[in-house]
Amino acid sequence: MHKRRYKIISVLGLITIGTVLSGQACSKFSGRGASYLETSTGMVEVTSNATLKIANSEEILPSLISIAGTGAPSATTQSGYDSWKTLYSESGNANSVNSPMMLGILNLSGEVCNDLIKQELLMPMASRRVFTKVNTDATTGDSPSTLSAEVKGDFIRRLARLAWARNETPDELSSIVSALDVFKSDMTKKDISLPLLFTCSAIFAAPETHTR
Amino acid sequence: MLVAFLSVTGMGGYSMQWVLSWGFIFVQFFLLPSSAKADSLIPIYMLSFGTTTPVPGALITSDRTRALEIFTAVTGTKIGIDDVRLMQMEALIAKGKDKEAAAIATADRAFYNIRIANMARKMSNRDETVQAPLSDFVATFVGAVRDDMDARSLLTGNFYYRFDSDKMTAAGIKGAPPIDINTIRTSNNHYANSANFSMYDALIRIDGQPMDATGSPLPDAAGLITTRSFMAAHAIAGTNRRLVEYSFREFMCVTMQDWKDATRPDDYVGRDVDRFAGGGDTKYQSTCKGCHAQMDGFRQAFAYVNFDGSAISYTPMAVQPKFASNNTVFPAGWITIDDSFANHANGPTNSDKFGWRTPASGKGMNDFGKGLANSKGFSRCMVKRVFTELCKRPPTSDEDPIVRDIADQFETSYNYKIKSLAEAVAVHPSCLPKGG
Repeated sequence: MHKRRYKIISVLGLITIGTVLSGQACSKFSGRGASYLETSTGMVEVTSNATLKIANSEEILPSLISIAGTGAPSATTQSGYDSWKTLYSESGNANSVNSPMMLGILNLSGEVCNDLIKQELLMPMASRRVFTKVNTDATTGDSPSTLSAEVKGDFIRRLARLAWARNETPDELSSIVSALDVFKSDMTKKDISLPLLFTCSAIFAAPETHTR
Repeated sequence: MLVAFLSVTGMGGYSMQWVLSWGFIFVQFFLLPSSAKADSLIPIYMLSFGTTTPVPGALITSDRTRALEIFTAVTGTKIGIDDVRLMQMEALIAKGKDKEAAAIATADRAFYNIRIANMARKMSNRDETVQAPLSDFVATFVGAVRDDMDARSLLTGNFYYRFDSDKMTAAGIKGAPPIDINTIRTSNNHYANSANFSMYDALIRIDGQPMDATGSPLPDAAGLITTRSFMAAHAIAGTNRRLVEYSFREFMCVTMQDWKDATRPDDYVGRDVDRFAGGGDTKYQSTCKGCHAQMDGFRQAFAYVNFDGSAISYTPMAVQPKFASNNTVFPAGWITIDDSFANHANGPTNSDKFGWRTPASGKGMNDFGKGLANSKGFSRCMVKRVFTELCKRPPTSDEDPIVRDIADQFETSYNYKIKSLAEAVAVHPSCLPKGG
């Protein structure tokens, strides 16, 4: 009973972050179509005249892997993708986006981020690409609550440039950083991957990451 | 936000560590079978994909953004904005060398493994879905593009592509699929089991499409048309008319409705087509004939072929029994005696649409494929297909002159190379508007 409740809460927690990002211009759906797009916070002006599409079911995993630079997906990621494949859009048309698909994208983003974090945290800081300032030393390393604003800002910026092809806005930075405040001081150094997964999943799952 | 959410939902009393730990592993408990929880990297997949190192303070120019748009259009995948390939493309775009910039994108494996593969998947099955399984059709299409072959050979060649265990081993890939000619001839297992392997790396061309268990080559091959999967989709049961319909649909980009023409001679319409449906010949003359006059003329190219449920059956000099089905409906109709066919789709209605360059008659599937491949309609269709894939929409009717212009270049400047075609389409102003 508790397990199931925790599962639901965990997913909803990530969705909350995704909603924050997509509703506060984190994920402005990259404006295509010279019209307006309805979001949870109102109408967003769409300024481009190009056609809007999102990654279809065959593109979504390779694209996430390409962004993350993780190479071959883990067996868990591949298996998850195979399971959720039918949730993703076949056409990639904007009007094919629906809630189960977004949940599937969130799940897959979490898995790819998990692969990325596992790879990165095994490396020395100087060899990493994304979490270059996260100190994972067993003695002097960061715990989730001791991550400095500079460290958070650095990996948020790097993830934004990977996934959104731009720098994050001040509002987006503020939203994510404040969301990371949920990581309290009772967490230990070994939990350091949690805020990283939290941030990475939110950024990778944002619709802007998947627009074409 | 999450704290507020937890308070509202009454979960605030639980340890945050618990909640976030579950967030960390939530996927393990959703949908995944327990057997899938192994954490080792599977030794397969797309092999490509460079690793971008983000440069937090670097300026992002409009040319860099344009480079990413082109790269994404060509490959179907995104890469980080600081990727070295985008920097190279940016420099070329700044010099006005957009097509050269696009060539950097077509050099990426994803162009073959994702973009071209998805285009081929849609053409390979009756539902025209991108979720169709990997097949000999898809592998052959991808392999031919990778090897920069003349696109006409896709409808005329006697070859196919399969995964090569030697190449895979050399590339450090484990788990190469078993290669047995009879498995390839009688099932899709070789391809379906290889769905996660990089086609760019692992495909090998085999000359001679297999006709029997010994691998004897099919004597009348027509490239993709005579692949197992295309035949499985369109030559199973029926009357082989579907082979004509879908050959035109996939390689000329026209539905039967688009090219029906009731003014054409109906001398080859079979005995199974009712000439007096409803008591008179009005319906036949105005409707049925519009499709059958042309389709039945071509259908005879497939007189010797059938798909028996597992493999292609080719019976040289012996017309397949399906050509005599329902032969009492109109006994005076055409009786197919061999694989000679007539092209009746060359009347005023369709001559410009197809732009035939081959004789109005032929013999067998290879001649049929040659007729299609050498037509202007085929070149235009390839442009439309590439445009639709890369530009996220099909070209509009107003853009028909653009399609024709690019098709002319496809034939004369690009020598029927789909890779060059993709580069040209990706940087065409109508595909990805600059500043869009």
